[in-house]
Amino acid sequence: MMESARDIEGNTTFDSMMSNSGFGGDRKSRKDKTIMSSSSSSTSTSFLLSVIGRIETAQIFGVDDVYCKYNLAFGNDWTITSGMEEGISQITMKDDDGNFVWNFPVEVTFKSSNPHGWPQLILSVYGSDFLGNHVARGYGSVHLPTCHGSYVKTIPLFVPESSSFLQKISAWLMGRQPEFVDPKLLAQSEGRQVVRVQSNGYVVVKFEVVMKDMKKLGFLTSSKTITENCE
Amino acid sequence: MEEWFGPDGKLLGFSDPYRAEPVKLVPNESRQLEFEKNVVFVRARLDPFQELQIDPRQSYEMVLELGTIQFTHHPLFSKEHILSARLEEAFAEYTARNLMRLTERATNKLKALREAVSHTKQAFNNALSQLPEAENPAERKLLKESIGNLRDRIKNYRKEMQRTCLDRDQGYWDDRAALVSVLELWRELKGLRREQGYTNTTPKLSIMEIPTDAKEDKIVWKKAIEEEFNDLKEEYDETYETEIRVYNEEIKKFLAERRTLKKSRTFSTSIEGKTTTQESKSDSDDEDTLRDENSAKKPKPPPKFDPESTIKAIEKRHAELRRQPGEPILMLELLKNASISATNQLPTGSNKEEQRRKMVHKLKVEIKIWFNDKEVYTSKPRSIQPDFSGFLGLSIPISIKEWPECLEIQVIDSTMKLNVDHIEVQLPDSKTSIDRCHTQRHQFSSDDVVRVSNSGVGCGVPFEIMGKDYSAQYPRGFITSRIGWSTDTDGNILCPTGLEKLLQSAETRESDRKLQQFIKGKSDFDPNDPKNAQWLNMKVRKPEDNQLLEAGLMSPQKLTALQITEKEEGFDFDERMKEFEFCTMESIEQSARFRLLHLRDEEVPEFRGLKMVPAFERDIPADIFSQYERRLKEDMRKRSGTDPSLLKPSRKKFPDDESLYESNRLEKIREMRLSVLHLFENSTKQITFEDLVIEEQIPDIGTLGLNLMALFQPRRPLRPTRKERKRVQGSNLIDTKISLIVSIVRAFNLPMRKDTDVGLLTTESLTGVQVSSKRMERGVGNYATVKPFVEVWFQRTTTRTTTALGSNPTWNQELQLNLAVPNDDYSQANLSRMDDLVYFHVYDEVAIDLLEDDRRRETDIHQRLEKRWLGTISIPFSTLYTNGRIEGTFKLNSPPILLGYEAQGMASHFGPSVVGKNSQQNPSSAFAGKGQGAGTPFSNQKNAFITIFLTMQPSVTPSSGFKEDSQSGETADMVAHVKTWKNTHEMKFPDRIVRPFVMTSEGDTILCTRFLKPIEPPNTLLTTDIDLMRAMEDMAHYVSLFPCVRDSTLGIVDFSLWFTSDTFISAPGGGIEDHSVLLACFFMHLNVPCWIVQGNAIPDGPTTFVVSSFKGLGEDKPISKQLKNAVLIWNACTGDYFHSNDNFCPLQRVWAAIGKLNVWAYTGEGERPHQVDWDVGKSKCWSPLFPRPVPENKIPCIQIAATRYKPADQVQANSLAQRIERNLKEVFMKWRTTTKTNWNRYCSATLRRLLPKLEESKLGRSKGSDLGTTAESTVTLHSGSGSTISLNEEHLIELREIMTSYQMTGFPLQQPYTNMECIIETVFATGVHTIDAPDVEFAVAAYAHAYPASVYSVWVYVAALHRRK
Repeated sequence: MMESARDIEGNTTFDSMMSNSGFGGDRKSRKDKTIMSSSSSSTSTSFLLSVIGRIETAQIFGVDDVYCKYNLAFGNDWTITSGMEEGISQITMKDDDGNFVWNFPVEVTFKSSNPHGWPQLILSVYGSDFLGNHVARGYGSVHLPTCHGSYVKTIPLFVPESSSFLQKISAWLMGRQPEFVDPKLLAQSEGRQVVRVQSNGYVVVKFEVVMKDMKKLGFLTSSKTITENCE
Repeated sequence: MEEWFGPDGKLLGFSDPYRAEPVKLVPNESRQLEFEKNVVFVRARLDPFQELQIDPRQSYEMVLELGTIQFTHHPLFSKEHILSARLEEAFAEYTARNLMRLTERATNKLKALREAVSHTKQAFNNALSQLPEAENPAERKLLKESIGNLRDRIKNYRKEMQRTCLDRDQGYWDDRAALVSVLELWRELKGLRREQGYTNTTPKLSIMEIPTDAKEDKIVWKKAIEEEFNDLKEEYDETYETEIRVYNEEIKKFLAERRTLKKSRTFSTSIEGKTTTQESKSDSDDEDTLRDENSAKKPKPPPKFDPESTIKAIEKRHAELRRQPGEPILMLELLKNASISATNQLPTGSNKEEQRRKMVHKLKVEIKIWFNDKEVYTSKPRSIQPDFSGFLGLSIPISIKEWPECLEIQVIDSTMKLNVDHIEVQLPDSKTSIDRCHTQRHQFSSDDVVRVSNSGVGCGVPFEIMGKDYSAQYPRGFITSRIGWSTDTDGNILCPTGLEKLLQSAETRESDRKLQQFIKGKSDFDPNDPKNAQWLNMKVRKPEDNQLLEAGLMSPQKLTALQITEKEEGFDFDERMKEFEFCTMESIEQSARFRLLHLRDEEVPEFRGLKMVPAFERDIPADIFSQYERRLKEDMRKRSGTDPSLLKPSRKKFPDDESLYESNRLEKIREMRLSVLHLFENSTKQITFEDLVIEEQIPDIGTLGLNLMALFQPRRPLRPTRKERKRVQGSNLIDTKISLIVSIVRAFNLPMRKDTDVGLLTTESLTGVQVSSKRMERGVGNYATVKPFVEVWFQRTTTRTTTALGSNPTWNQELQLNLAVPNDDYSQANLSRMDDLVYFHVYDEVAIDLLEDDRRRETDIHQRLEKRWLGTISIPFSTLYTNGRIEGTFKLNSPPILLGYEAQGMASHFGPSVVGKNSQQNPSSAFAGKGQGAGTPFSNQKNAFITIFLTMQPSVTPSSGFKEDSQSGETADMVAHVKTWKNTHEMKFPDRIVRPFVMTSEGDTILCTRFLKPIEPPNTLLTTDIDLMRAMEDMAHYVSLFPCVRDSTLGIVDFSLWFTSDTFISAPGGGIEDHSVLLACFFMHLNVPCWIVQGNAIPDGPTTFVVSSFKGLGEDKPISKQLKNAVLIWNACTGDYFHSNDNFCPLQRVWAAIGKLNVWAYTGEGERPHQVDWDVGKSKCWSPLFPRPVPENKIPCIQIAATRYKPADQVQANSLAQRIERNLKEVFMKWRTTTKTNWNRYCSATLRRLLPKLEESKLGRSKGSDLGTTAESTVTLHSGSGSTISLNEEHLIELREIMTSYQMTGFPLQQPYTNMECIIETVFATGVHTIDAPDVEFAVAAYAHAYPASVYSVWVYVAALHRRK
């Protein structure tokens, strides 16, 4: 249901863009320009990537309760056909071994015509400090697997550091730890050189990846023998 | 067991399996190696199938028809089969030879040649005989030539004959050999059949003898020999002639040589003395020896023709090759009628044969069809005949749903389980239907080794037949098939389009593969072998190349790399890198998809943020680039329109030449600045910590204090101050709308409405009574209060305030306007690039009574509201964006003359002496000096002011990326010195932005003092008779006429980019700083001390002004006393200047002053200009960059010494004025969509006359002598007598004729010429066109005054006229 609705929307916006593709055109419709050919339904002009996964556990040091937020960052040629682009988990307390368990499902299907901008899963882990403020406990990102199969990924986490020692003290006093403006920045390489971070634990994520029509578009993501065996 | 369990019976182990130190498992290295070994480099290539399109709705069908199958070898072949197969092969060759009849052809050719030779010979002889007869030298020459030609021809024929003769002999030989081999095989076959006692195969050779007549044969034989002999003889004769000639010559030479030798010898002996006879004897001996020596060298005569030996040789050859006379001709025929002996009739002991036959009987084949490596069809098993042939008769339609890559047939021997190779079938081309194609034979083979226990020979096993050894045979065979596209009922071929391309690529792939195979097969590849030339299509030059080549021979992959280097340059790494290239650059550039992706990456506005670019080029709409290309073309046109016209203004450019004026001057300046900016693209895009991380600011003492103070402050203060709001990053606003919040507080000193009583005025002026003084006294004139309102106009949307009353209205109203961002892109780059202006127009709302009947006045109101423009201020959005908010009291830009209004005298703060400064000093300019409605500071009691506050909701922070430290044009010492100076200053005054470094057009950062140097202004501005003040005003006016581009619209926020003045003048135009620099340089030329001041102004924000001081100037300078101590602040962009004491000076804060050789940072307390002590020498208030004066040569100026100005061209200016007027009229009528626009041409003409005077007044160049002759003589008279007739009234006098019949409102507008749109926009903003009265008439006049360096001052007079009742 959701899939078809998105498709139609994509087509109409592109058509409208082509009809009034000037600066003076309707601004609303130009918000997301999309190119989709009309014959997209019959032949495959895009491939599908379906990821079923779970954000299972985490090990974060020195924290008692955390929750996890996930975002998906992807390139211009990608759209989500079903599933949620972001989600937020429950708050969990650690067990005796220091593991946090969320078992938070992530299920999303992408449609794309270009592997450039392959989707990334961005995790931001927050927890409350002793004053009850919610502070960032860790950020991490990982590309979704480019090959079908089942994967277990351990994503290391880090948190941005304060810019100076004084800031650190003030942050501690005020209970406002530095955090990223936008977690999606973690999907980019640009501008990372200005930030100092501290490594802080890891999150274990499981993925099951299914793909469709990758080969029809001329992409091979696995060696041929494997493909044949699987087929 | 003991090792596993401990004494307690529990499994031994660590108490905790967790290990503190990390452990790495040893990787399986052998496997790794194996993997690495197996990795083979495969060149990347585009898949041709991606390019093609298959329409899924269409059905494509291919038909493969299989005819028969025939094994030429099979494990179950018996020996007899082998022989008979061979026999058949030999017979096929024999018949083929017979059919071709090579020998016969050669014989015939020989015959023809022989005839040709005899003909030419005849001709040759004829020519020879004619030669002596011919007398004419020309004829002779011709004949000689023809003789030469004929001789050559004969020679050629002879050669050809020799060759053909050889061919014929070879033919005889081959014929014989073919015949013999057939006969031999047949003999063997017969022998085998006899031996084994049964027959397995059908072939049977029948031999027919055709008897021949021996006599006849002999005659033919003889004749042939004779002919050949003749040929040889003739040939010999011909060659003999030439040979003998050569011989004769040689012999002559030889004899001569000998003679000379002899002579010399006799001579020498005679000298030595006739001594003894013995000696003479010895001489003769010597001679003998000499002869002997020479005889060895003596040329031999050509050999004589020996007819006997020749004929013998010919006969011998014929006997060897040809059929002997009388020998019968053998005709062979291979019949397939030999009866195969039935199985039950087989002789005893041939059990093996029985078994074989049984096997053959069971033999079945299946056919599989593979399409694109997928099995698509399997036939039913077909039985095979005992002769190993089978009829298949299959017609297999293949419906195609994907691109046909390859089609293969596989033959499966289901009984023997032979592993037969796939047969690749060539795909039919797009035009071949199945009905039209031909049957083809496809060979198939197998490498299997099969041993059979029966009488079959097996495969891959050597065997012998009748004592003769045969090498191993492998299964082989052929299958006949045909393939084509099927047709639909209309006869259309069901073939997908674009197949040709595919087939081509398949061919190249095929050749590639062949090459690979070839090289693999030949490890001993010899590069010197000429046969390999085609594989080594390259030149090897250097020895190291040779080595590489050898290395290439070791591994096939490398050789392909060599293969690719076909270029003659030899060998380099770039070439080798080609191997890794995907495809050629051209094909990438041509690809629409790649282009689209590329443009999107470059963030070209049309494609920015484009989503889901299709994976295939075919899905990209063809017209996707059209919009973009059109825009590019337009840009190109604009650009090319700018350059030539501005650089080379020629007389030929007449008003019709639109491009000259259409050229957008701003565009060029922008481009220049952007090109500099490109140098720093990376650094401007730099991301800072704040962009990435949100962090709480450290509370300093100040904020803490303020927080504490807030507790004690009144809850509702009487004078509330605005609190700074938290700023948001532009990029974070994706969906939120940004709105502009405008709060209009009040205005004051607006002009009074006054319907001028023309009658009174004219009478006054005629009577010579001082009009103004009289009026002042009596308060003449029917003044009415204005009803002003403010209209805020931004991006063509407007909102307005309510109407207030009086000249000093208070609105206190907050208005909101939505911000429309191009492409909905709220990124910082985009926001800062917006250069829309926010206009604040103050209008007077005039109610015009329409009520016809006075009696109804008590009850009815019938009015029309008209708005009349009083003044405007415009604030660029970029200023608001960089400053965050704009607050203050601004001077309203009102026209110098406002017909129907009169500026009202405000309580003068400055005293009358200042007002009258010019009139006292210089009577000639008094007239103009008085009339300044705007511009000069001392008349600003006549200016109107408006107090506004402007901000954005939410407040968006501008980007701040670039930090001045790129490559520097200064020495390291200098940079260090300046930086420490700057830092110490910034420590003290963090708010004061001091920028000693600026960037040049080359991208160097240099000290800004290098820009200051006296520059001579154009000669026309530099007349000696006027006083200093006027000259300065003129220069300010001139500089203000250069078009201005704001830095921030280019995204330049944090640093300043200065151009040298010659660039600025030649552009013409530039940024605010460039204006300031030029003005300061002009002032320096006048020896007026001046500085460029960096500071904060309203509404501009951080900007530069020029400050001039007359202090310390010599007494000889013609300056008024009032100005002696005055410090003037000049706005170089507008040409306005202000007294430093002026309260309304836009410069609000002073930060630093830049002088010629030094920079001073302001360290005083009060930052307002009137608080500043303008003596930069005072160390209390100013901290200099160089405490000690620096010699001028240490920081030399970068300005070019002599700046040249193009002379002013008034002809062009006039044509420009015409165009402006025409354009204005056109757009004016367009704006008034609902009603007809009437033009009052008489009024326009009058106004047009008035405009040049306005410019003159602005420039202070009114010449009394000129005026004397014109209608204004009266006015001059009055001004001469010291009266204060305003310009306004002068205009009224000029217009009095019109005024008598019309009520007139109008005003002149002045601006520098940047482009047509700017002028049109200014006129539109005044809203004159909105007057909608039924009888209204309009007048528009334009005037452009040309100044040197092609800058123009443009005046537009707009007026609306209402007919008086």
